Amino acid sequence: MSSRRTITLTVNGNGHTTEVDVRTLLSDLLRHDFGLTGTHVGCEQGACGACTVLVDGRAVRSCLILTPEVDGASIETIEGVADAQGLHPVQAALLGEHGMQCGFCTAGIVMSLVAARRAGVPADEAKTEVLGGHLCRCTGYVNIRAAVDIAWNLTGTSVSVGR
Amino acid sequence: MKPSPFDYLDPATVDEVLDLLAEMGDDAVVLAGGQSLIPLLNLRLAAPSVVISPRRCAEIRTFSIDATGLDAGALVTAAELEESTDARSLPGLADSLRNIGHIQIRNRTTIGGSVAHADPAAELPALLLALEGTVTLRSRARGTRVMSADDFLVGPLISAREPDELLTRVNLPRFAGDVVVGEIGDRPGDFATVGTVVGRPHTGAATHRIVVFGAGGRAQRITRAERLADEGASVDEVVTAVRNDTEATGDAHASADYRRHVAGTLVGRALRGGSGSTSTTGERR
Repeated sequence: MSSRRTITLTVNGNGHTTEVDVRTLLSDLLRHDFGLTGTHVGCEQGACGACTVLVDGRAVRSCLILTPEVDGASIETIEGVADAQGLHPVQAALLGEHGMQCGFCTAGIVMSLVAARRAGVPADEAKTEVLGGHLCRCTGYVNIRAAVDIAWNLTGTSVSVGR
Repeated sequence: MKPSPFDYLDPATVDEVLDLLAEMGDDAVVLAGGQSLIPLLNLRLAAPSVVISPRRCAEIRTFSIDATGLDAGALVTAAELEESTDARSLPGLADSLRNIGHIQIRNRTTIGGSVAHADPAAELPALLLALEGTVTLRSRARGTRVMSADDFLVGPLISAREPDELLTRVNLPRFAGDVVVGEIGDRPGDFATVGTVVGRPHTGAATHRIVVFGAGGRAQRITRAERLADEGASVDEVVTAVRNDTEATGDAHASADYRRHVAGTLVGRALRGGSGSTSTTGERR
C-alpha cells in the first residue's frame, strides 16, 4: 500500500533515509523520529508559527507539511542555527535584548528571522511582515523587535557569546 | 494531532494524476500546497482515503507573463509570484498576494490551490473574478474545460470542479488600468472580514470592476455599481450601490450590515485614490 514510504532528506546538513507513515507531519518527524524537539508544536493549524523551520531555505510551517512532500529536501531547524564559533546573530540579539519570555515561540521566530536576514529582507519588513507570522502569547514583541534591529546590524553568521 | 490514515500518491505527470482521479474521484483530495487542506486534515474535518499530490508535475509548476496577462500552472506558489518583477507589474496581483496569510504561508500557498479551495474570503479568487480570469480543468471524462471565475466559484468552499477534475492552470488577464485591493481584518494575515477589488480603467480602455469578498458565500461582482462608475456617477452613488447590492452574512467577526458598510467604504477609497493601491488590512474598527 501507499500509506508508508521511504524518503531521503537532509536535516541540518545530515542526510537521512527513513520510512514514514505518509500522514506524518514534518513537525512530528523532526521531534519524534529525529529527536529534534527544539521545533515546537503549538496550534497545528498554521496560525501560531512555533513550528516554523526552513525547507530549501524558505520559512514554512512544519505542521502543515506531510513528510512525503519533503522527500529530497534540505531542512534547517533551530538545532542547526548556531555553529561551533557561537550563536547566530539572530540568536545573539534575542539573548542580548531578552527577546523572549517563556521561549515557546522563540525557535520558530529565530528560523523565520534567519531566512529573512539571509534573503536580505529589510529590518522594517522583518519586524512587521515576517514577525507577523508568529504569535508570542507572552506578548514579548517589543524586545523581539529590538533584537531584529540589533541582528540586522551585526555582520557574519555567528557571534561568540560569553555564557 | 494527526490526520486520519490515507494513502499518498504523487505521480510525476498530469496524465497520471488524471488517471488516478478518474479511478478514485470522491475518495481522493488533491494536495496543492496544503495551507488550507492540511489544517482540515489535522483537525480531522476532512478524512479522505487518498491524497493525490501533483507536486512532481513539472508542467504545472511554471508561469509566464506577457501583454495579455498571467498564465500560471496551478502549483506556482504565491511567494514565487511575489518575487517576480513581471508578476508584480500585473495590476492587482502584488496587493492580492501580500494579503494572503504571512510569508511563511505564502512560501507554500499555490495559486491553483487557493482558487480551487474557493474560500469566500480569499484574495486570489476575488481578483480572478474582478479581472474576468479563467481556470483550466482537465479530466479523463470531460477533457479540457476552460471556465470563467464567475462560473467556477459557486459558494463557500464550493467550486464547479468535478471530483475527477484537476485544476491545472489559472489565467489572469492584464487589466488596462489600476487595480486596488483593500481589506479589513482582525490582524494582518488573517482572512478578510471584508475586502474589495476595484479596477479603475485608463480612459476608455476598459470598464470598471468592483468585487466584494469575505462578505457572503463567494466573491461577488457588484455590477450595478460598476455600471454607475462607468457612466460617471459620483463616488457616493457608487458606494451606496455597493452597500445596497452586496450580499452579506453576519458572524462573530462582524454583522452583515457592517460588512456592507465597509465594502462601500473600501470601494469609495479605491475610486478616490491615486494611481497606487491601498491596503487597509488590519485597520482598527
